[in-house]
Amino acid sequence: MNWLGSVRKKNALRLLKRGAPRFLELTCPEGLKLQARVANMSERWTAFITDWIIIILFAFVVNIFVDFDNRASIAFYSLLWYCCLNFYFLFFELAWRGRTPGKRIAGLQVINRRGGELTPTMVIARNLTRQVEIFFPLRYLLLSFASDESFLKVLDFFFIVAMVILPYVTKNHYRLGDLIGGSVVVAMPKAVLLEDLADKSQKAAFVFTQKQLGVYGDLELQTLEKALRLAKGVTSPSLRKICLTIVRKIKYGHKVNFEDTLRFLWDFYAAERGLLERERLFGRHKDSQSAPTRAIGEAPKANASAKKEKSGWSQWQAKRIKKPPEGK
Amino acid sequence: MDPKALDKTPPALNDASPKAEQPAETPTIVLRSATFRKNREKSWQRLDDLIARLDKKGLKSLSAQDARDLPLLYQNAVSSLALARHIVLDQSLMTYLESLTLRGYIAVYGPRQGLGEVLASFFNRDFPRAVRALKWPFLIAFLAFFLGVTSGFLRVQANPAAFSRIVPPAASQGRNLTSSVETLRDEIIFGPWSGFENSFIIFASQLFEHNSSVAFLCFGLSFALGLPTFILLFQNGELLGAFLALHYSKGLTLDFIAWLTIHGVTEILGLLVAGAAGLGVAQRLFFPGNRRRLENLAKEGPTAAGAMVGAVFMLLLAGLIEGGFRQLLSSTFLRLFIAALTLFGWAYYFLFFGQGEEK
Repeated sequence: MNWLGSVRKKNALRLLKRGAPRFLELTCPEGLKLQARVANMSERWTAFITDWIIIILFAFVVNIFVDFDNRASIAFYSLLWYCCLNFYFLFFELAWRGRTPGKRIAGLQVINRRGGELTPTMVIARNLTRQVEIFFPLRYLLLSFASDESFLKVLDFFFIVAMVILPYVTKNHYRLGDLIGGSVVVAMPKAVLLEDLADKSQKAAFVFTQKQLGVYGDLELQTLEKALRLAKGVTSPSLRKICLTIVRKIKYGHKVNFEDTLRFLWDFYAAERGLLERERLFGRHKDSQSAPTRAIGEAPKANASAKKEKSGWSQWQAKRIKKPPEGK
Repeated sequence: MDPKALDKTPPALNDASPKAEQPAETPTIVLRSATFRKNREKSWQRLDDLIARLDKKGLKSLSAQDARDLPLLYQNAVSSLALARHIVLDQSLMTYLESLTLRGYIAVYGPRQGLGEVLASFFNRDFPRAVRALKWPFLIAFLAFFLGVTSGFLRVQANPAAFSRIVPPAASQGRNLTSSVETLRDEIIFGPWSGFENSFIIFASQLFEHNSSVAFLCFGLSFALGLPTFILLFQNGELLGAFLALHYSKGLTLDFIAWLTIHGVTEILGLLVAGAAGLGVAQRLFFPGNRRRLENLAKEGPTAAGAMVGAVFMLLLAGLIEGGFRQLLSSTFLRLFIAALTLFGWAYYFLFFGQGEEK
């Protein structure tokens, strides 16, 4: 059964694991694989509701100027309202390169899910389907008052519920419109280039031997980087703890004073990164302190898919943590 | 400081760095990745700025030089990223580069620019091509409609009471089998023009809203095997058939056809194109061939949607003709002439526009 092939048990279970980010792999024409984070449902709702607030505000403002004694102006108003409902999303996604005002505020973007150009017809497909997903059923549910239609209304209600649930259970939060249009909504975070931590130890006060540096691997280095960036130049108790652990594990053999903690960590970070990067050039990777050194091209010990998920997660964490302290 | 450690300290990797002139007692650590970053940082920042401007103010805000540089800077970022994945362990730099390259990729290869350009290429090429691609669904839609017309006509011929069952009161405008020839002819077919405001704004917009709603439904309900699309087309055909039977019985056939076709050619064609789009989607979904259903849908769905938007535009035109112009022309001959003209116009447009360099 590959009817709605994207709806799999695994994905349905993800409903429960909210927050686990999904990544979409795109291959750019230059041949490099890029990863885009699929927008999660709360971001999608934020964008959608923002757009609706804008539409309703607009309608409200126009409302003030409508002369309700004049039939022509009422007709004009209703036409305008109709166009807003139908063409607001279409217009902005065409004119603003796949983003409505709401999506812009939420930092989202519609892209072609197979990579490449997002064509006008794809945008059109994705937005026409919106009509049938929400507007028509909702209008029918709310505005039709015939009493003998209760069966149809129940059916209609379940249809709406199904349409609302669909993006929660499909692989990359596809709406029906995304399925038909071949599009996907991704988050476009604007990352800021932070200063290089290695710059802090241009005059190294602490020196390490290769054997000492060889204790750790990539994972520890990146954890240290995260901790140092979060500390923002203040020696916190946790930094001190990290420092003491390092001194113990690498058998540094000298005491590091409390005042020197940051200095020590900066120097250690730079030296460790220097070593690991150099080793990489020689084709020797060390993923973490517990993993043995592996040759280039050799698969890491843990199973590949689990590793991938983890790296996606840590990337996302890194993005979340790295809120720039001052605006760029 | 551990003097023994000095010997084993990694040597400075870049001699060009000014820090290389430090005295030997304070070892300098110049990382390959730091040098890598310093050499390329400026071009990344420039790309970053260009993308930000492109996002905020559109392509017009870029100078000719900027527009030329954008793809080059992007390619530079791509090569930086490819290299960085092998040599850089600075997580923040990697995050930045990944995000920058992705944004550059979207900026360079992503959505097309400019609403005007999009519209022009749509009407010149995409719409007629989409309709040509849907020729079999179109034929089926036509068949469904034609069957509806025949059935409506025959049902009313056989039993005049069926008229009120087929035609909802909102659509009949008071017309039924008891209405006299004079009413039909003088009030409806050759009814007076109700003035600019009434005809062009009120009536036309009502018609447009109604027709495009029907068209949207035709398309959107297609995922239910295309059955609702089929039924909608059949129903609308029956409506027409019933009216035809009514006027036939009063001897007003030609006047009615002229009254109808002046806008009906555009309107019915629009409806059929919308129906064809819906049936096309259904076909992709239920007879996927060698591809997976969803892939197939994603590949062909946009074509159908293109046809759909064109259809809505046609319905807008039809609404304008019906609401606005029709009552201005009170001659059956003139109406027929214009109907024929629109028919040829559309046929020419669908058959011959956007030919050549077809994918």
